[in-house]
Amino acid sequence: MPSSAKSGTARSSTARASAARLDVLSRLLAAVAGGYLAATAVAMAVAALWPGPRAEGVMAATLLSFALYAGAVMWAFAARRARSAWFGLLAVAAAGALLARLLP
Amino acid sequence: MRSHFRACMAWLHTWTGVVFGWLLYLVFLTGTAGYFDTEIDQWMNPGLTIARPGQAQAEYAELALAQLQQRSPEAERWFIVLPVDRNDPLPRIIWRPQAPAAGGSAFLDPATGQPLTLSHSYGGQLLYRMHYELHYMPSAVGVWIVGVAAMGMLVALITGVVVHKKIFTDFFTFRPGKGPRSWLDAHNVLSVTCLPFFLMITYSGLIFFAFTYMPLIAAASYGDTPAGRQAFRAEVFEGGDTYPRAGRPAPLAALGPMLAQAAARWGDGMVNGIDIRQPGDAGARVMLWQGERTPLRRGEIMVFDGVSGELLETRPAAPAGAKAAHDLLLGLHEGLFASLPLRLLYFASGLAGAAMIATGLVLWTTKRRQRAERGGESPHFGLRLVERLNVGTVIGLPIGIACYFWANRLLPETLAGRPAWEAHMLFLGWGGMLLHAALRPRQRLWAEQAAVAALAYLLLPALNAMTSGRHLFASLAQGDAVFAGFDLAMLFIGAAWAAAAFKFRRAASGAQAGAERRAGSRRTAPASN
Repeated sequence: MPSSAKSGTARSSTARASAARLDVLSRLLAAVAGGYLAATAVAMAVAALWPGPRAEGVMAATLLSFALYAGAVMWAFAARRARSAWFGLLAVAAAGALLARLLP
Repeated sequence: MRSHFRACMAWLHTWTGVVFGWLLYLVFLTGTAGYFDTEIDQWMNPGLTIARPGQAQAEYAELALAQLQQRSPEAERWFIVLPVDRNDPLPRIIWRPQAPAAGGSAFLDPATGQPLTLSHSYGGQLLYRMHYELHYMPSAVGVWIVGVAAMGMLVALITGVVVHKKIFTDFFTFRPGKGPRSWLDAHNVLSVTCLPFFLMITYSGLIFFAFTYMPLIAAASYGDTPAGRQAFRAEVFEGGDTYPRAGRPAPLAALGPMLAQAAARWGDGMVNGIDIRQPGDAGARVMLWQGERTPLRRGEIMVFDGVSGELLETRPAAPAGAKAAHDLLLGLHEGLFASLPLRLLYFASGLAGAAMIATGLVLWTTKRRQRAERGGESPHFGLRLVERLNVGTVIGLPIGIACYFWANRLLPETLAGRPAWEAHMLFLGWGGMLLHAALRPRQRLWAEQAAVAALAYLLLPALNAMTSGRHLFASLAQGDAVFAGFDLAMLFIGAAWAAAAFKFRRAASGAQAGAERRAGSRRTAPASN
């Protein structure tokens, strides 16, 4: 990431570099795994909400899921902090799963 | 906030590009070759007799039926492909026995109706399949790896658009001979002009295996049980029909009258597929697929009772709703409907995609090298690695593909596993160029490899003339579009590499002179340092 680990006054450059590396790793995991969960869960909710036959909803949601995933990946790297990327994606995943579970 | 977002997206664009670039380059290049897969098949199997489209459908159907009966009686599904256009040069049979036995497929010799063993070459199909299932690994593994890379491509495309400030101006901006600036301009022009194609081809590529990559969405609605999966398949892909086994044997109705009904509705020789469910069972169904190619992939389907031979329904050509969107994406990706001019446009767009990826990869290195040289530091290991991998793949892979064609004409007929050896030659050729890239001086790499690529492609028509006897002028005189087209394409590609080789050589000697001048000025005026 473009230097999101700032504000360390007394920290050495190597410590900063390893913190930045951890930050990237955390975001990468959030993007790949958290993003996948969020995209899947939201797509499930879309499938459940879709008017018309069940097959239509599942097809439409599956078609959309890759755009959702791409958006989730981008957000994981755009979020202010890695922690908020995780929190946001898991919250979206939980909301989507809950909606999909409650609706049918 | 805006600039922070854009900086993040630039970072993401750069790194998805570098991580997936080489693999995506392979996918784009082999997939682009796939737009001429059956033509490459024919060039690489010059001894093969090609079926005349739309001819002798009833005879082929009978011969195919006999083969299927012999190979897989009591199957769950038989499928017969009948040639109607360039997409299927040979009749083909596919069978799926009842679970758990594994199915299979075979081509039929249009002259004799007997099954063909393709011991000569896998032709264009090898390149085409490589673009989605790779090579030297199980298909399922390759599909997942390519899927992950395609997802990376999608992210790189969207972030690439976000990073752009002036997408319209970049249409018309190219500043050659200015180092990284020129590479950036080239990358932008290529990306912007074909952006709709890249978005379409990447997104639709993911959709081919959408239910493999995203299985949980369907499972949430249908349940993760065999019955649920079957209900899902039936509702989504079979228009709600299932084809249950009655369990009582009954002879399959004759196909001839069904084909006659199809000919009355669609015209002669327009049946592209005969889809037979539960043959030999009282519940059998026969479905005839119209060989009409549209971006929606499919024409009408006539559904017959497989025992009485009665026409039950005719399914409309265009599906509705989300299924139509799905089919449209796949249809646009495959381009089976494309006539020659459109096919050439597909080909050019695919090459532009490969070039976009290549320029992006080069841009990554030129920027970093310039920074390193300005800072007076020695370039780090990652930079040197990427620089060399770039040449070895961007030019090495096309050379590998040329090796595949050379091997096709040079490997002995008696070699055991000949088709597999053709593929080995592709990877040996590519590996050889990677080795070359690892060992030679950096400044000369691009020019040397481009020269090799130029020779490898320019000499192919000569090799073809010597080994098959069907030289370019004979092919042109006979109106043999496939052979003439292949030779001309090789000459064109070879000429492009030759032009590139000259350009690279000039650029390298220019850089050399510049470096010497700088070194010289340092020697004469040490005080200025």
